[in-house]
Amino acid sequence: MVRWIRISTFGYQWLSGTQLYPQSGANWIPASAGMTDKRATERMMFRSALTLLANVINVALIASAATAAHPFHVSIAQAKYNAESKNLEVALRVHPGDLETMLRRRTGKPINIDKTEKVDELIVAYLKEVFQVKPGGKEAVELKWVGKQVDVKHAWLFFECPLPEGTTDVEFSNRIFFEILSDQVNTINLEDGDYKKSLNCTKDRPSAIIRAAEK
Amino acid sequence: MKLHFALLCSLTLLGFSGAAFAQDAPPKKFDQEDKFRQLEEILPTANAYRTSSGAPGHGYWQQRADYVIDVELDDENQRIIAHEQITYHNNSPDELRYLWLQLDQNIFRADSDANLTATAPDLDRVSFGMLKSYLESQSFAGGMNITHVADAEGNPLSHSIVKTMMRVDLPRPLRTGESTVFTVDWNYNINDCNLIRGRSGYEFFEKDGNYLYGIAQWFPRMVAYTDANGWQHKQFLGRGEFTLELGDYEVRLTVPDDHIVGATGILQNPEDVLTETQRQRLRESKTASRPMFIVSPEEAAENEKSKPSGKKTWIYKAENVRDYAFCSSRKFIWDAQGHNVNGNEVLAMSFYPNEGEPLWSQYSTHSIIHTLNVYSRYTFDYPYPIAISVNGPISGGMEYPMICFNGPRPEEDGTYTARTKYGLISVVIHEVGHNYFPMIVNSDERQWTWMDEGLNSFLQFLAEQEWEEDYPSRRGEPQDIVEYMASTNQVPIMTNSESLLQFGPNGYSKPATALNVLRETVLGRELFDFAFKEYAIRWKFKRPMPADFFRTMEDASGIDLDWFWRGWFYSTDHCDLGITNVRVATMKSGNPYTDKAQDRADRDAEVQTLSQQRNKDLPKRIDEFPELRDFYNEFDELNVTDADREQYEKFLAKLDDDEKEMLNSQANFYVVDLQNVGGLVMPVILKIEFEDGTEEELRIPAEIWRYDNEKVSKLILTPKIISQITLDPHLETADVDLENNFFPPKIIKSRFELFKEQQQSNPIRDAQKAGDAATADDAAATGGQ
Repeated sequence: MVRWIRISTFGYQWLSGTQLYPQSGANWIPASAGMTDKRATERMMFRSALTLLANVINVALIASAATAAHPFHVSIAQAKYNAESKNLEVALRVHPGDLETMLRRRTGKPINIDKTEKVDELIVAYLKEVFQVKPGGKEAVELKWVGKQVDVKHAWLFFECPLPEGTTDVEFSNRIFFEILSDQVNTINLEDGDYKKSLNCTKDRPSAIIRAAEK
Repeated sequence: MKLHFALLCSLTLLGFSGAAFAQDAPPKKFDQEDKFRQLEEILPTANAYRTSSGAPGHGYWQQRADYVIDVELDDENQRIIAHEQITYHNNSPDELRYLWLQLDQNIFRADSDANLTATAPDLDRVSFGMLKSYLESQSFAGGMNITHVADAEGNPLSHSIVKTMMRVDLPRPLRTGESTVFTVDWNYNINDCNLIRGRSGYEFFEKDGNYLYGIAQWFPRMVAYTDANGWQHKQFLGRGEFTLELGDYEVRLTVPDDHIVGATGILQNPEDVLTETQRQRLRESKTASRPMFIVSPEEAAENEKSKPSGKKTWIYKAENVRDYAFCSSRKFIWDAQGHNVNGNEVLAMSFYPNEGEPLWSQYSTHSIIHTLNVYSRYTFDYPYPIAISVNGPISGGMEYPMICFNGPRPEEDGTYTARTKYGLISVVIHEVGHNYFPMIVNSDERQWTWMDEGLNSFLQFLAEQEWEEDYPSRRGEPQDIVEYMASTNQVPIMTNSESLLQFGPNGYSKPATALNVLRETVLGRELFDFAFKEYAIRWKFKRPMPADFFRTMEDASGIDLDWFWRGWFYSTDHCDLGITNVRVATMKSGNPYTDKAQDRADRDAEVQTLSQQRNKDLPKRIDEFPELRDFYNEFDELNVTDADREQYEKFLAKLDDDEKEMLNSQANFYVVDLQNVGGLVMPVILKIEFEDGTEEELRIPAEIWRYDNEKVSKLILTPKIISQITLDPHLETADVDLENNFFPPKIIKSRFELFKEQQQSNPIRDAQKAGDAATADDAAATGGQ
């Protein structure tokens, strides 16, 4: 908690000049523009602060080490909607070294994607947090793990997201490695029949919604 | 001769639903973009400095800056305290009233543009490490303190610091051909690379309390002044590395007396800084057949416990370099091996802490020498006397003249994965390779990342493939870039370094792949290698611009490549060619007996309607009353008549021998209809398989698309029957959709579908369910691709 107070203070300074909500306890998150209901604002802020706290703790178990071992801060997903099974079938290509670094940070233990026991479970737990598919403003759908393929160059992660209503009005986001690489770009190449679109998820624009009008 | 074609069959492929072409462009008389439009209107007009053939012109000039630097590394406070004397030579035709210097360390100031323009993290996915970095970037007292700027006589010079640059005002204008001497004193705090990432800095080892320094971008350096851009005014934001002037350096590095130093240039005073044993080993290493230790791992481990008793000054000289960097630590192991690059003696050396072992002593120096061999073959002989690879303090890799810093290390227990091993070899090749581009072929990295990273990644691929068979290169193979090419949210290669959306794929992979495609598919190895080498030789120790590369490659290969640069470098089009249809025709011989027999067979093969079939056996009136039959009932137009025979004889009489032979050849005419779905025009590579089991390859240049870049048809004339046509059979064009590459069509399964199928019929997986999960995971991983 000592750390938290420090970060909280820092956050306040860091955001100076932007619209700030009066600081009380850990609630230093600025009110987002357009939010007028004060109670809603407070609720949102409280939740954000809690989430932030939880996430910070989540990945802070071991000391930070430099990670950017290459300039390829990108992942790319082939996401194809299977109209028969009503699943979005995803093949996500990530840098295997980044994946190991990330899991190492989350667990505080050395990770070898090829050898570490139950590494799939660690990957799935992380993926569920970062790769989210939300139909029509609902909660993220449960991601179904299919498996992975790893070689020296790439780690391919395979999973399905059930979308019984199709891909229209679905919000996609992939925030993988945002914790360790501030310029990470996660591209989702979405394919639904003849409709093809690429979404680039960055920390500034982590998600995008596919609207019916676009299709 | 008039040929008679009979369309025997038309085989249409599956419904083709390619990208619809945007129709919102203003109406014009031809509704296609001209993919072969010449680049003249985009490229700068050639002049006396740069010719239209892509070579330096008769009036080519570049500035020069020589440096004498005294620097002290303060290991107690992790600081640099230094003094430099710059001799600046104005070779330009222009009069200069002020000079600009780069102060790259100012990027670490809390109020730097790099920090101010950094956007917020995603608060849902923020880590302590990241928050600590933000915090450190706010509190770290980074940036250069310029304490004194003076002329050669010591009189202060007026100067003004503008972010990461400094303007020094000259008391009187520097005319063309003149030189000026001035001095700068400065100091700065070195960044901790673990907290504030940079291209240089220090690494602290908690376990033994020692520091390891990789020091670069550390002195006020002359900004490039060029014929194309004047002063290079792009401030340092972190991504666009730099561009500088070539010059000679004398650098006196004062460090704790128990440190080992590696630096750009040749050590001038080994007797002052090295032990007799170290000097003896260094001499021996010059003729050694394998890397040998100057400082062994055991000695380095012993040094880690040492405390300095004073300072030592290492003196270096380096000629014709555009920058200067060094490393220093008491933790260093040091190995070296001399190598002869076509008559030029080079000492390849590696500096690394014990944390790098056993990987580094096995691979680093070997990788340096391998790089020099391969790169020199494709460009020019390595001209410098030294090539160094240092482990740390940065985690990736970063290049400077004669010296580079490389991150990969084994695990703490000394084991390492294949990824770490290949990661190390690749990064050493890459960073040592940067000596060629951009250290010697001095392109402007702050403007164009691809000119050094792209060209270097391309040569890295060639060098990797000569390291071992099927070396797992990350970039170079067209199929590895397909996913990126297919994505719709990207910018062209010809985009400024600081504005690239996906930095790695855009600045490294795509240009490297493009050059590989140009070499293998468009020009062929011989033409490409000649032209590429010509570019390197023309611009060795000079400063090329993008147009100089484009123009030289055309000039030396004799091939107009404007369409290639336009497609791969100026657009975001991708390659997706498809076969939409194959039509087959045979030639009529003109012989009424064979032709009419064939027509009859065709007529008999025509579809009988249901009514025709059911009416067939109904009793007919003309059968009951035969007198109703006349000439027309008996006439068959497919019977051979006297007139037919006569006409055939006349026809034959008019033919010459060649035409008769052609008539008798029984040729099949296949018309392959092709569509360009992705927009990028590319050569059409067709593998044609025949019913008799033989196959041929047809390689059609991209110019097939010059009149119509959306749809074209190609005629294939063969006496044989085609059973299968495959487009891009060797995966050499980065075609993003293979489903439309086959005739007859093939269903191509997605990577997901393939994996799922493999999962379903995977005995190892089945075994895994019953037993040890980790073992089976391993097997599945290695059995993957």
